[in-house]
Amino acid sequence: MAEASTRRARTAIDATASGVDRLSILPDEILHTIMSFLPARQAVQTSALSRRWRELWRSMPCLHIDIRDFRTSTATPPVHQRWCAGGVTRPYNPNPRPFQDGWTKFENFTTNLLMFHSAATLDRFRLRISGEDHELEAERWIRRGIKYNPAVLEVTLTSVTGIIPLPPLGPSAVAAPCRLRRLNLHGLRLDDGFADHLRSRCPVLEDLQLKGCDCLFRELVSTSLKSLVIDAGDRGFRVQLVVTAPALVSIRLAFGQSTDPRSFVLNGAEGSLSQAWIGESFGSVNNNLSRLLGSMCNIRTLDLWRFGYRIDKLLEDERKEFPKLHNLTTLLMGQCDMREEFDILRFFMENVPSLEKVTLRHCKENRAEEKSTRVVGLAVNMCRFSVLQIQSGCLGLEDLELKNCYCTFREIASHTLKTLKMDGCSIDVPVADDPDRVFVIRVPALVSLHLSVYISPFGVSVNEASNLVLASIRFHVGSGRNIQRNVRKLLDGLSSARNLELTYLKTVVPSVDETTGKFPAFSNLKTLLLDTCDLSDNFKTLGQFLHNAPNLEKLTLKHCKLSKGQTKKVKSMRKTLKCQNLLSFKCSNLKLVEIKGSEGNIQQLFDLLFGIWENLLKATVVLTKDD
Amino acid sequence: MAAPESGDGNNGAARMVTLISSDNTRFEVEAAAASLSQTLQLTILDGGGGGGDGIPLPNVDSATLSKVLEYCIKHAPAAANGGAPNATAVDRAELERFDNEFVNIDQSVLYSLIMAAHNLEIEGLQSLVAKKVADMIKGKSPMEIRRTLGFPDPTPEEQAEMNAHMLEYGWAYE
Repeated sequence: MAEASTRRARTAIDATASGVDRLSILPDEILHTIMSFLPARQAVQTSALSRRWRELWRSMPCLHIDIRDFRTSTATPPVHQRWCAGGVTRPYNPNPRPFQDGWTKFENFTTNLLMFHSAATLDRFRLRISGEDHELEAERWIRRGIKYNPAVLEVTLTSVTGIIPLPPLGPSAVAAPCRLRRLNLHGLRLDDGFADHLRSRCPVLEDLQLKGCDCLFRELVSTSLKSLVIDAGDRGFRVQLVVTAPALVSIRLAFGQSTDPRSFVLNGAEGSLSQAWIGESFGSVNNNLSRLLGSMCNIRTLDLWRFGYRIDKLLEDERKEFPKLHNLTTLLMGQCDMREEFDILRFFMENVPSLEKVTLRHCKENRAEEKSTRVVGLAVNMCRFSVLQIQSGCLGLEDLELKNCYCTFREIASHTLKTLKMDGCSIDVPVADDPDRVFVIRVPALVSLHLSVYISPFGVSVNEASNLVLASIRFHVGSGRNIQRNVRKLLDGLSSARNLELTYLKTVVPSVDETTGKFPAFSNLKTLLLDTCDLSDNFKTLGQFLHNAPNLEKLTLKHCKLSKGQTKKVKSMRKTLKCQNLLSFKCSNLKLVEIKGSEGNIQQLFDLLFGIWENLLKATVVLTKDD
Repeated sequence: MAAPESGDGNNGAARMVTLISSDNTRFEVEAAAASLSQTLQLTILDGGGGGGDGIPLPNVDSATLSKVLEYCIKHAPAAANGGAPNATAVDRAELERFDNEFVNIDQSVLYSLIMAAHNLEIEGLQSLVAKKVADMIKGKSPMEIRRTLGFPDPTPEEQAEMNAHMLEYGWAYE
């Protein structure tokens, strides 16, 4: 041993001295690791490199045998690619001969490889075959692969005709114990014998993936299994499948369209299962989802994909049966059908008390083309999720409306949302999420924002909304210590808006002792509407807006309030301080000032403005009486 | 795996260990990062490497060790999350970006790295480098591989041997 390593060290020195490559002096194990990332043919071809490499392939611990590596010729890859692209749908190919040639090479190679490869066991055996009429060879090679007692076995058959049954799995009881840790099967027929072998011969199996397999077995039992993927594909299940896996941590289930969800039952995983992905199923409405989720009652993360689920059709007792998922913190709904006013989402929220994060991704609305979603009366007061994240792709959600919602989350985040409407919503950000209890709208593409919310004692903050065209805010301020701060914080986020409509705005000018910083600069602002706003602060609020909006073109004052005292005061002011320009701001583009309200109100306002604002004369002033 | 152990000793400040390269350079690193190495993890669990002691690594020079530790520090948080099911897509993408850049280095450094990763039993690093080397081999003929990997030109004798071999194993070369 020592001698060997000295020799190797000397070789290394010789090597660098004489310019021999540095790779070849690495030990066999490392070269084998490198070879394990190569397809089998290329790995075998390294034997030509030098004497050092000549015999390495015979003992390499990973074999990746893939029909796709046997292209007939590099000049005509399209034919081959079309032919071997896999999947069940095969494009029309009038001339399968080129592939057949590829098969001959592939078969010759695989037969020779498996004959001359001399390792007793393998770490990984991966086999991928496609094409017609090769059941015999496929079965023989799979059998050989299993005989290597690999820790990882992956078999993918994308053949069009004939489905191959999986040969007996694992060595019989007398031989060495089965090392199988991961088993990925695609396109095989699996019968009761397979299930029997899994239970009795695979004591360390942790990871099982069955995709597009013809599952004929009724029961799957494994005490070691941690991760299970069943993707029924087009085949579906023919019988009911009962899975008993007490160590299962994560599960991924995709039932084919044809599959009745009643055909899947999960047992014994309540304590261990923390992640579930359930997709494409449950087209019909029944309580099977309840039952399935009931068997996963401690999961923390749930992904639901392609659900079209009419909750309203659930019977009352079926609703009651729906499990409370007490530990669920993360819910993702992808490509879900959100018709019926987010019924699914709402239903989940009622039953998931500890939800922290909800993500909607590619969610389908009324029609595929329609890009708007309305959520009406979404009562989410039972849950505490803190981030409503809306991620979308091709069906990008652009329009979200929350009406009369009680929002206990702290953030709305979306990259696609352009219109956000929150009408009559109460915001109640838990102190635990944010000590200042500020509700954050993080929607960079936002164009139009309509808020009618109670923001006190909670603040609302609009971040990154640099494309905002219209912001319409109806304040329901109520009483509270931080009103000034919260109103200012909200206005800060709207500073890039081009059109601003503010209703029920009370005074926002800081009192003397307050240090809320500068009034935001509304450099893009073209039109400003103040509706039923309080101007009884000696026009300081209005003054601040005008002072900070140099590009304003149109100002509308509607039903704005003046105090009696103020009216008198300004009248007297007009006498004494005539021509004093109290409102001295540029607004050189201001062309139109509209004043709307009752007759007395508009007259007063006009008088007042006229008295203290010289520049008003340069704009057209329109006075409109209420009917 | 490593996270609970590193936490129980002194809460708050992360436990540090010292590693000493073959050329006697000392590296101080968080125990959680060093524990990516299966070999070091055992020593660290036994309380080694702390204080002034340091763990000598006679097979790893300082240049290689600093590169190894760069990898370990970057990957330690994800490893502490137990394979990182909680990691966001952003985190994963960032790690991937790091990995890609990390192996974009000289061949000789790659070989030193894979040797060190092998000795220290850092599985992720070993796979990362092995995959990089495999990618340099993929799709090339034996002669092209020899050239890419800096093999010296074959002697006529070697060339004849190579040809004979490829003839004998024609099934792998058709």
